[in-house]
Amino acid sequence: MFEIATQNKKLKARFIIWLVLLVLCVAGLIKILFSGFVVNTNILDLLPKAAQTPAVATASDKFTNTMGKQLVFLIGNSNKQQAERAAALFNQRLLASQLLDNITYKISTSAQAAWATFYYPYRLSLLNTSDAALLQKHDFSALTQQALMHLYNPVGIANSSLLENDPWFFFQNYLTNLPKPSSQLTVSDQQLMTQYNGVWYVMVTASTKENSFSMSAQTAITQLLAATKAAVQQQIPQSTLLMTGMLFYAEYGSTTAQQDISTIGVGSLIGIFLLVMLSFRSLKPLVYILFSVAIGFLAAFVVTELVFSQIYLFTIVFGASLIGICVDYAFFYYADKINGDASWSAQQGLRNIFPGITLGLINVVLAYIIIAFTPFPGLKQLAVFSVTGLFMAYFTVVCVFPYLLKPQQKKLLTPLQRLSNFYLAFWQKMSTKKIISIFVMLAIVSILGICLLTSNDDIRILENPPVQLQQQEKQLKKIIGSDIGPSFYVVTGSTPEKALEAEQKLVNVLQQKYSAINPAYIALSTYLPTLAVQQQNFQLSKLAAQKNNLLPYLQKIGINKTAAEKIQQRLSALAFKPLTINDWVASPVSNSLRYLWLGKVEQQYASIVLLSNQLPHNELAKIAQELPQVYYLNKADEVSSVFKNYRQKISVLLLCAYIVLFIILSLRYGVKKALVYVLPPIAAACVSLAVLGLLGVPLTLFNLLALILVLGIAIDYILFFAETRSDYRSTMLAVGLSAITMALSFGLLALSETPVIHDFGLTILVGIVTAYLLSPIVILVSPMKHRGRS
Amino acid sequence: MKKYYKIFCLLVALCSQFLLAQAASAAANNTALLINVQKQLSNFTTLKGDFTQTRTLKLLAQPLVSRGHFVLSKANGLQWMQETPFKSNLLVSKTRIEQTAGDEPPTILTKKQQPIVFAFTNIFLSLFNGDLEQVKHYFSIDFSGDMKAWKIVLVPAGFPLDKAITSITLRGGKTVNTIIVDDVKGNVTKTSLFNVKGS
Repeated sequence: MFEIATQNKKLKARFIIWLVLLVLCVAGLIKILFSGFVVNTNILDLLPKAAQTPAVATASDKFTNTMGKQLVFLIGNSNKQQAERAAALFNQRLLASQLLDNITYKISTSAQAAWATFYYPYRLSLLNTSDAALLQKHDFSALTQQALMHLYNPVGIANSSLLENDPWFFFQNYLTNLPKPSSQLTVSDQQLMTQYNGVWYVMVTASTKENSFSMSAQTAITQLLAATKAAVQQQIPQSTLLMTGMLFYAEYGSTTAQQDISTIGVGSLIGIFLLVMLSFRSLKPLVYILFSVAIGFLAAFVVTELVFSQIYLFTIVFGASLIGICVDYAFFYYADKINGDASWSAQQGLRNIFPGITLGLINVVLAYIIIAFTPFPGLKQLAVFSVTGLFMAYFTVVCVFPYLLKPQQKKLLTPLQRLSNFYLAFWQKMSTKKIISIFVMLAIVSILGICLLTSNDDIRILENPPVQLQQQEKQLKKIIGSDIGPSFYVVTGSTPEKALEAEQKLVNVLQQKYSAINPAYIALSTYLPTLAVQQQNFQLSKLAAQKNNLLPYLQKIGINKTAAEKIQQRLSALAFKPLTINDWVASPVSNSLRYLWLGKVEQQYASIVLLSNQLPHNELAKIAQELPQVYYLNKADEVSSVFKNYRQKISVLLLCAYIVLFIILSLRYGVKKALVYVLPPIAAACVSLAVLGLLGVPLTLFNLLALILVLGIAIDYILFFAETRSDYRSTMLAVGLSAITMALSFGLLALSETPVIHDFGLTILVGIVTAYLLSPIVILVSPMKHRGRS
Repeated sequence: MKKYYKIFCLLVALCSQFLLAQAASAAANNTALLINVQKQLSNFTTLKGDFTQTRTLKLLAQPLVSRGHFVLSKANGLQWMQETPFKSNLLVSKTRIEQTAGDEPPTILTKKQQPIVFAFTNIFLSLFNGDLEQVKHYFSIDFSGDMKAWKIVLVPAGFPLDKAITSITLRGGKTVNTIIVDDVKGNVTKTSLFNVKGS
């Protein structure tokens, strides 16, 4: 009696702890729902940051964030006026929606004039390179000739006031030589327009207010654009709309992932439903099992969201497959109950399964901790999500189920049970010779398959962007003549000026090496020379304003001596006026280029240099290595090298995990038994790899991660058997139910269009089936006396 | 930026030869005479001739006078070959402006580098093809005279052209004889065309 009382007390205490946890989770959920949550579908965010200084990493993040919000539209019509009308309508709709910021549609004439107005006060500090070179050579005859051409030029700008202020036309030369980022667009009727294949296009740009990965923003904006497109096409038929932006890719990503989630989720739920109905012939277990899964999910979601402040879509997708493991604990409990008699009590049942499911949980948690050891932010999150979810599902079973489960009223022998019992009996009767021959066969298949295995570290296994979106982007870029690639440089400095100086050095190298490509890069220093260059230019301008240099020229073109001297004196009197980054950023001329300047990040100042797609990427990385404060960022290359690195590291980790597993098993069960116990997990991994090899699926990092999970689950099965206290038949049934659920959910994962999810599902499917089929081997070395309940 | 408007104005002036009739009919919606003029003029695909350009800047004691030949064709744009006071060659086409003087390498402006300049070049070329709509966007058009001696005055219709140019006056008979550009600062550029042959 005393013992039962303590038991009850313990049970009650556990229940209260569970209740407190549940309340905390619900509170957390309410907080999250009220403050709104972000689901991140950006696959690149799942990956570790390359080894960079924090300033470079932050700068790169800041820049990619701004770019990620950018949307570009081209509204086209073969008739120019119609195209303009369509663009006006399009713009009006976008404005009215209030969903977008910085909508650029009309280029105001004042903005055009702003360039000249802005730079004019600094004109003596601004020289184009060829003028500066002529001045350095003191080649005033060439400069005079050049100026004369301007003066006589029928399309020249020459007028009196210009001659007074810029007699050599230096400022005009500087302005006309400033490159423009996009090459095909021209200003027409105050709009950025271009004609391509007989169609007129008007460009409209905008940025999203929210992050591109905000699902609510994605839905709202894609709906807005679809409605706007329809409205425009209805009013102005034959209008076309081309668009590109991170948002559209993100939206596609979330949609496919949502499909994956619902396939997996619905699939596993249907599977569980059928299994439960078949095995237990009652709805009650289904409700309880789903209850434990739901609690696990709730906890997992809340904790992950609170810890990471944003949840990756991948976490949810992979997390959905967790259902398969979550139900294990409840299944095991039920399987024990179903094989128990009228004397079975919930507490007794719990005692029967407790060591098994606890060791199982510890094992899967260990497997996830190994996964969390990788520096992938995505996998760390997945580990937190899974560990929390599994623990809460386990804890629900342990704390709540003893109150819910009642002894079995009627003896059940379902077909599933019969099948399970039959399979168990099959193993029980198996001779050692047969077992050895099975493993020899598996070994041959494994060796054969593994020999055929190839590896793949390409980033494309992660992403499968739709061809349609890619084509649209390509076409759009072609029409506007943009040739800017995805890689870029980050240049830093302890002061803004130092950052600019470092950038100037980089730009000099690029200019020298790739003069044939125009423009090879877009850099701030083109529009904003460093102070040193400005000072140098100023000295040269002063040289050009010296009496003996300027007066002969002015008199040659027919300006009388007094007027010429007046001009000369005025120019000589002008003081140096530095053009600073603050001036530039504050001016409207920087509107279209301001994103290149990131300002202060992590105690450093940083700017971005964009690069043409035509530049050879391997050389660009080398240039960065040779220059201080210059960092080359190329996500695709980075990702592939990271994949390779971690694929190799995780292979070693996996090997270590098996060794550690063997040691632990030896400690608990002795070396002899441990030798047999490790066979199914090893076989599961080998057969999975062999199947990949035989199917010609290359090995990726993600297959290896799946193998870690397979290891965790295979050990689960082994431990369930090794720790069975009551009846192997209930273990066999529980393991079978679990394996079927797992196979179902991960098998559905293999249907995903995203290669990485597909591979992950396939590996687990094969691994689990193998682990299940081989798991009864345990009973051959640890025969337990039947309690004779058959 | 002003430079571009100047370029534009000159181009408008030069190609108005082809536009004359349309401009006329648009401005003074009378007479079959002007339609005849239009028909006669739109037959030309190339105009060749000599020019004298006199640029009077208030600051200069003497006007800047230059002489040479020109070719204006629908296919290649404008070629401006100056002979005096020094030799230089200017080519204005849809995508390039190229200038050469003496043995120096040519100075080239391309559409890629200077899209805004070529926005105007494109207007010029569409004018060349008889698209009067473009001119109307930028200028009000006043036509007077008859087929033998006519005058067209183009006045900028609004900002920003009106900040640079007061008016462009074209005079001619069978072909354009003079183009006078008055800028707002009081500087005048007068270009006379001689021996103009159309083909």
